[in-house]
Amino acid sequence: MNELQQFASARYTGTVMYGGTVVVENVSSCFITATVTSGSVLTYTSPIVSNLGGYAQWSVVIPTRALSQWQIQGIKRLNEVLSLPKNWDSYGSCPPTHAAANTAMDLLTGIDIDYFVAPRVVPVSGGGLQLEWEIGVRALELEILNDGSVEYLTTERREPHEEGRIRMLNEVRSLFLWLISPGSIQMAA
Amino acid sequence: MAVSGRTPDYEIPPVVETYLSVQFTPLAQFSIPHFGLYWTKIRENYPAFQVQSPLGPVIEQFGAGQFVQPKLGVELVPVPEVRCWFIAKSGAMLTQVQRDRFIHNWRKLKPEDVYVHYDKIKPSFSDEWKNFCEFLDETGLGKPEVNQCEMTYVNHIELGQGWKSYGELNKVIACWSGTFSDNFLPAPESVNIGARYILPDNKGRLHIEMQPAITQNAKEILQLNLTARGKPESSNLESILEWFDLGHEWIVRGFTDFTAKEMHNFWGRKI
Repeated sequence: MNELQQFASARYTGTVMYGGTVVVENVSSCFITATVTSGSVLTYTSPIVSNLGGYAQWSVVIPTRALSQWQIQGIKRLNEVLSLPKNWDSYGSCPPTHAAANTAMDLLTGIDIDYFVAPRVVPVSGGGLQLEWEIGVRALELEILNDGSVEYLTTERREPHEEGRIRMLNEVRSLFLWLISPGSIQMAA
Repeated sequence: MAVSGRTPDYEIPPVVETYLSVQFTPLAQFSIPHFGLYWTKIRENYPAFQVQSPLGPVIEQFGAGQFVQPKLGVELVPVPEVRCWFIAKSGAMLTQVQRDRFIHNWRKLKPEDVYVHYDKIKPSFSDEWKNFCEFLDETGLGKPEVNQCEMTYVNHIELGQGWKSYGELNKVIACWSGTFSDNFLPAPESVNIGARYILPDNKGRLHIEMQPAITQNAKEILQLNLTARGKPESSNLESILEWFDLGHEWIVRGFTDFTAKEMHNFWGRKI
């Protein structure tokens, strides 16, 4: 029985017209590992690459229409903090670093929760910044250090609940869900 | 439309990126190893690479052939379709290659970077394209049959720099009056604009798209993209460059026509 692995490419295509412009869209492009057994059975494993069709444009922006209201508000507050002058705290601190700003943008734009509240954005001495949410009796603080790394602290009824370091964006999603879970609101009521 | 004289120029234009793209009939024999072979040829100037998903073909059509039946589907192809980015040492230039496209980008990295004008970008594109065609010839992959040229200018017009809100959009866009027939509506929260113009003798189209966006450094902007696209007379370099000259003229004059005089003053219009 011969077994081999090969790549195949699955492409979802659509041809659409915008006026007289014909656009053939590659909506996704997946490389699929296929195990071929005895030349007859194809076993497809999960895709290892899946990308939305891209653009020739290199510079990256986020269209506002792709963002929820809380994200837009949060970014506006972040922009104010990023505009702080040097020595903003009168102890010689610099404004938040590029690394901290980039991480803050990733945190604010990378979570797909439509209905949420905008965070308070506060600068931290030494080039970091902090995003803070308080809903009901629960609160979440994400401290972004000047190297872009993130630490979190959750509190319940103003008592420390959990703290740690964030490594994956998905971990923040779990914290958001904890913050808005019915328990938080009910306890507040 | 009669055009003559020098194209408009600005001290500090809001351009953050330009690219010149050539689309051609897919090269039948071009496959994954050729990306690596081509990279060895340009690696000294383009030491970094990234693999991206490919761009779909886009064609400007006119006349009887304008109607195309929309279709959707999933197809399995034996070789993965990819696009490769080859990034220059400076981080400001990029060459993108896929089986049916060649794209040359410039981008602004820092606010103080000076815009690289078309008369510098054009020879840079020309050199890279010649180099790519030489590579195709050396490896027996054939001569590209060009079906579209495309040029795009990406502009970032920052909120607070000459305009403060969408109620002041008339200070940015020349054909936006900012007034209403019955004064019922308030100032808009957000505005998207899309417009298309046909180039002379159906040589292509100019597409103008404006959308509100946010940059990676949390700045609120209007992203104003001007894209000229059309088919050159032939696949040779002279025809391609001639088409880009036309596309460039329409983009620069189109940008000036589309945007308001208040912003021209802000950007320091010279010509």
